[in-house]
Amino acid sequence: MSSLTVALAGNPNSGKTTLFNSLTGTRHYVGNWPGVTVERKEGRIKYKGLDIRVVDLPGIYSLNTYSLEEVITKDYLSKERPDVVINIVDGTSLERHLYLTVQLLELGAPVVLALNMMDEVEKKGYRIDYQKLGRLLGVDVVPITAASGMGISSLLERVAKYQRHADKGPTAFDEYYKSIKEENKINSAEGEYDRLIQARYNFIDHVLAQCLVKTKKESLSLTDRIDRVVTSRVFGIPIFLAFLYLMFQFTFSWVGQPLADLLDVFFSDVLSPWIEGVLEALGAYGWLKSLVIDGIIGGVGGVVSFVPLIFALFLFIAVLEDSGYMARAAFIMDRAMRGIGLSGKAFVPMIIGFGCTVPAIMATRTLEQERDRKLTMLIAPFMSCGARLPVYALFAAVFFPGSETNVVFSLYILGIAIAVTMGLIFKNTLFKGESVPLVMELPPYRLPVLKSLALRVWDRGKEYLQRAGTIIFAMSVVVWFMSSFNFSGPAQMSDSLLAGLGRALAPIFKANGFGSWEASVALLTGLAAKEVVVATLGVVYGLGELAGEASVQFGTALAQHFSALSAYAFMVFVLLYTPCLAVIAVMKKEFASWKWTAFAVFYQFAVAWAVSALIFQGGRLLGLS
Amino acid sequence: MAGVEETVTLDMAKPGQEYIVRGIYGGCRLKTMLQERGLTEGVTIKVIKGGQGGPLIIEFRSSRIMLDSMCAARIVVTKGIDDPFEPVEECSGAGKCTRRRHKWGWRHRGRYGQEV
Repeated sequence: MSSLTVALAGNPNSGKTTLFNSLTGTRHYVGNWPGVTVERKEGRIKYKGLDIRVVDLPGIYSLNTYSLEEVITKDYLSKERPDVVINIVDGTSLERHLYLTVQLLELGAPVVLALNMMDEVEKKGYRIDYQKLGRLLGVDVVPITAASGMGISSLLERVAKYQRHADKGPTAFDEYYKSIKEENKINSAEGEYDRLIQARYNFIDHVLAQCLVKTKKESLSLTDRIDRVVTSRVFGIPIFLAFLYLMFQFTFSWVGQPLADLLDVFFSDVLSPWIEGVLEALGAYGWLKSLVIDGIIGGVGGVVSFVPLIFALFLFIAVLEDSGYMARAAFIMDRAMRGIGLSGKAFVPMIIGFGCTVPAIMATRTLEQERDRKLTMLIAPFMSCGARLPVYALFAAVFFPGSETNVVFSLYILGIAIAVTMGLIFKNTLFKGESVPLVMELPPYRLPVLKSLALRVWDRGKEYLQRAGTIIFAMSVVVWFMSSFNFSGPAQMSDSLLAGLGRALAPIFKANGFGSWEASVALLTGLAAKEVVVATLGVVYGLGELAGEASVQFGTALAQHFSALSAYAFMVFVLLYTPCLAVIAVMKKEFASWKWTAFAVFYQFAVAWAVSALIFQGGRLLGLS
Repeated sequence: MAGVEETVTLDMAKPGQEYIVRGIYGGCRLKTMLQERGLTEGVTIKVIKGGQGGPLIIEFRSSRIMLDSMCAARIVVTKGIDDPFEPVEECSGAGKCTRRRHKWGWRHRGRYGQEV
């Protein structure tokens, strides 16, 4: 079987990953904003006896490199030389997207042009003579709609046949290329580059004049009308905050919590007694029963019951992303971000951090300047990720019943405020200077597609469940073991290894109001993954044994060790301290320095401790309890 | 005949109005980046959302981008193509010039990629 390497190249937000998913049957993360793909991804397909390796490259505007992901794409195209480059262009914005096409052709790349978003092209009243476009450029042009799968098979057909492509003879592109070579623009290292850019756009205008017809007169679009309101100087930030608040209402009051309560009842009233009965009937050893009930059900079950909340949160975030609103959030926050020496573009990784900190750290690659990248990597972890939600949900339900939404909303706002404050401190100390100018593409508003939303939410929720089945499971077993044994053998929990470790750490958190060994070990194990905080508390407070009204009794156990004030201080600590091992690993990769990684870990811990202690001690001074 | 007041920097442009880009200043790298995204001299842009010290949203070549005011202040626009405008030679672009280091702290690359 012969093989073929096909690279997908195009501008950011042109639909490369959507096409990649359509071609390979994978479900990589896509979003209606530029800069979603920051690493190259690979997949394989078999087509008519061909083994095709498909490489999805980060979006670039040109082959001139400004940011890291552009370097990745340019390096791949120029050094690894794929057999075919599918250049995916947004049909509604051909004038600009063809710039990269022209550069690829100048480079001599074997291009097949995928004219994407043809459904929107029709809606906008554009008519593209794609066959003529192909003749003028000297490439195969295939109209597609990657989101619906329209045209994908034709595209594959053209790609598969590319090897046999014969010389097409002189085209408009050849004439253009000859003219710029004659003028010595293309080989001139010292410049005249302005004229070369102008020549490229002149050529694009010349081509489009022959094959693009705009049949509708441009009027005030829906995007214009929405933008007038959501990006308004007066309403912009209140609308952004309202969306955040709505997100927590949706998660806690309307959808997520009611479903989580049902799942909790299932675990405590159905699953736990049933498994206990089965183990007893099988005559299982006491330690095995304890491991399954206290360790696994108490730990993993405690985390899994929060799955509906995670799904609800991710659904809301996915709607905001797919609609195109997230890019506007960067616009709205630009002024505030300038204050801390960053551009609004740096807010994009921070918004991604609401879902998970790992992609947020990776998304800093879209920032052009290293100073901006480092600064953003240091403050993005303060944005509360989905994994912290179970901790908030547990404590807010026990200590602030009826006000869960407000409490969690306040934590998210506090996260943003601390990020801004730390940014301000860094701007005036470690990272003096101004940020690069902000230039960012704004995608049109799009109605989220139900199927795409469902797949995205399922993928992210599945990740959470996989973590419950792997790292949280493993940590629950470790925590159970350490809570059931000491160096002499089986022991009471209060004499266990875990209690000993917790007692050694507890004095650190005395000033924060949660100086118990249970809270200390929960925070320590939470370094593996934030959900493990809940799993550990579930094990040490014996959640698995609390069959029937488990959450009520769990709440009673928590109430013995926390007051409302110390519970809030605990949540603040969880919000701000070092996210998890996966984030530390990504930070190491992105900083490319152990020194910076260690600094990030310790400074986040210090900030978490200081803010949490300040809240607890300040609250006590104000007479709160 | 159009007056001198018709020549403004983009941060001063009025929302809803169309302008023609006449020059981009503020360093070759910024200039090249904007040009490569289609903001070439002579292109018509429409200001969707005005700056007033904050960022702007502009539309050109069927796409929409946002720029902060610092960036917009470096783009000179006129209402009409005949409006008075005197270009100032700054650099030839491509980030390859070896001129001064500008105020945003970008280090310009020398011809062979070395920092200068």
